[in-house]
Amino acid sequence: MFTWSEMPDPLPTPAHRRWVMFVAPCLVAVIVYYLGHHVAAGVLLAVGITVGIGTLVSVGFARAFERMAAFLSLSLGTGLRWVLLAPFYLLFMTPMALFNRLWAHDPLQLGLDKTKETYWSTPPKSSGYDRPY
Amino acid sequence: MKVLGISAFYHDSAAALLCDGELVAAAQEERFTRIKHDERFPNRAAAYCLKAGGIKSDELDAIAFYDKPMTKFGRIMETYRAVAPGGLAGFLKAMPVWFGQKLWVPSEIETQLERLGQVMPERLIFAEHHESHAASAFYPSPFEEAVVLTLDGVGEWATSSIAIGRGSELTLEKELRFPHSLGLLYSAFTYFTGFRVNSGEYKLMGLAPYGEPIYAQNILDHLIDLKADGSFRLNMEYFGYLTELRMTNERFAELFGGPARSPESRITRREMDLARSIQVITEEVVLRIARHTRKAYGIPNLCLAGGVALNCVANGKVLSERIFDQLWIQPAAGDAGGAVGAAYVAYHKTMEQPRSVSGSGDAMKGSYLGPSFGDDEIGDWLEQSGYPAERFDDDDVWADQVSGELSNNRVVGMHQGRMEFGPRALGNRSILGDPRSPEMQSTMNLKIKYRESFRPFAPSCAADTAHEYFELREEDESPYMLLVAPVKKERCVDTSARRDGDDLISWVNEARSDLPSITHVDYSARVQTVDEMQNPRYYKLIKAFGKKTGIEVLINTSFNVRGEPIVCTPEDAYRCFMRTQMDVLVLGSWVLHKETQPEWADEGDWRQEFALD
Repeated sequence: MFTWSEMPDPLPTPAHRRWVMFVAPCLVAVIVYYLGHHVAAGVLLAVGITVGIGTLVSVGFARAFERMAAFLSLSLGTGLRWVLLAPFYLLFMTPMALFNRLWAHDPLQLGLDKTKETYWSTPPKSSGYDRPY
Repeated sequence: MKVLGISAFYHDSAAALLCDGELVAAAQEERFTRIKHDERFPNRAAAYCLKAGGIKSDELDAIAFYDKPMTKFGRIMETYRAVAPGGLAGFLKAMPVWFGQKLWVPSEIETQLERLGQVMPERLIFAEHHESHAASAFYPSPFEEAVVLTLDGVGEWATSSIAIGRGSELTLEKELRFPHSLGLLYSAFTYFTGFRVNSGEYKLMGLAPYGEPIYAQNILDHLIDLKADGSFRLNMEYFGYLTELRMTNERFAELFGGPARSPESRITRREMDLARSIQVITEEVVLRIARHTRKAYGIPNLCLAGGVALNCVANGKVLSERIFDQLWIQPAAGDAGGAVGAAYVAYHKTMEQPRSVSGSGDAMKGSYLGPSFGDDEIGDWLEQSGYPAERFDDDDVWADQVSGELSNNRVVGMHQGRMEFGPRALGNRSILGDPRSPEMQSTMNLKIKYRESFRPFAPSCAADTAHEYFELREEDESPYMLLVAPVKKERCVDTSARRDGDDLISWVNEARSDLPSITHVDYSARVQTVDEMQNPRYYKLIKAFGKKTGIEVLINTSFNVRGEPIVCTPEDAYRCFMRTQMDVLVLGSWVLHKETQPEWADEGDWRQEFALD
């Protein structure tokens, strides 16, 4: 019997992650300070300390901060994909694809072969179970 | 040996716990988060499994993940390399997700385990996607030796596979590779007929009997090169999934007389005929593969898994053709079942543990692997919430009471025992009704489930009398509702020939047998046989209903509304009960009547809570 009170709830951010939220902005603040931007370093330090204390004291705050960080990184990622990924695709992947086609290389085996008796193939040898590939 | 299996990051993420070879618990994440097909890491499902197994923080021996993410990534890159500059939109959409999460599965697992208060075990196993499916079908099956067929959309590269299982050995023998996929072919038609890919496939299957297979030859001539042994390739000139963010392209639309149906718009004769046509082709492919494997390997037992194995009409054809002596289908045949399969792969193949086959049945425990809730606990909650209810501790009295409600044409929400694992509700999280009523199908679809009126309902019947209602042999079993069988001829009424029109409502309301609500337009039914040992309470209820009505069959549909995951807790069940026109709610031994409940008020339109599937 699984008692109702044991229904899994959303779980807290691991403690080491919350330390990172404190340490990371402070480290950046130190670097900025040594680069001569004292005001910016002060602001960063204040933000770091506020976020750090908030996340260490309150799991709810940590979660909210994580959500905000995830939203910001998603927005940044959405913008960056046009800047980084689109050129990569058009300048690197596309010539490779065109080259493949020029040499009639068909990695996806898209061609149909009416003369073939079967399309079954033998699976390639597995690399084992300890690797994600 | 304790192994936690995980499937995640695509759709229907799930966790499963194997202790010394015994499947102790399994659950889908969606049931806890209340987000249908939730694909995120299943930390709530894993938390439940670990709790159910009494696993302490350092007791896990291995974590098993259900696919090889890097190989899958390689396939995606290879695909783009083949189709560029087409596919740019898909590439831009897919890559951030891969770089942000999917490539780092090992560290993601470690982080999530930490959240669960678990120490990362020494072994982290990655099974191949189709090996996980095959393992989920073979290892818990009742067979010492079997051919295992897995058919789905796509894993790493494989889209279909043939494996041989013997004892604790499981070897992949043959495969078909992406982009040639039976699952994706079916999904293409799901998309084209206006249903949602990865969830609307059931609807397409349910729609098929309303149509005629007039496009089947077109499909064979243009879309698929099907060989005698069931292997095939698709003509990718008609599909969009390699280069676009949709399943089919203009050429496909031209072939079938116009653009894809818009979701939620009226279903026309064309959609019905398309549904029937692709269903016929799917059945043909599955039957050819089954015949080929039977001949090639000479093994009399067949196991099935992968999303296509949820196509119970095709499964029913395999059974009725008697190609194999015995057939067993993994109840969680889709990706959720991959968690079970991966755990079995870790246990039998990497830890080299022996397998023992139980002579009395399979190892899935009726698929009742989720959480259950005690009567006292439910009673406390009902009292605190001020919800009036009556308690019936004696099972016979309980069955008599509930069957009385059912025989009076009242609709009952049933929440009892352990939650089912997999997409089917098997009597523990079900909405039940009287199958004798001709209007019940429309009533339950439109007023309770809020879903399309044409969708059929399945019957639950006692295993020992199933053959009296359906064309099944006495020894045939369908405990997981994964087989379709015809209703007995003598019970059917001739409603004469097919109609020319497409008025689905009047068609649905037509009485086709003395069990009209569960008899589909082609006189078939998706049968669940209920075994006394597996689910004694539900069995008792069916028998009690039989005593009152002379019919040992109940309508059984999942306890949810459209777009909502099946209910998990009594609170989920009560909420669903009050929001719909159900009459009675059963929570364990407790029985609640709608008319005695306090008024229920939702803030705003609760139906907006769930995205339509």
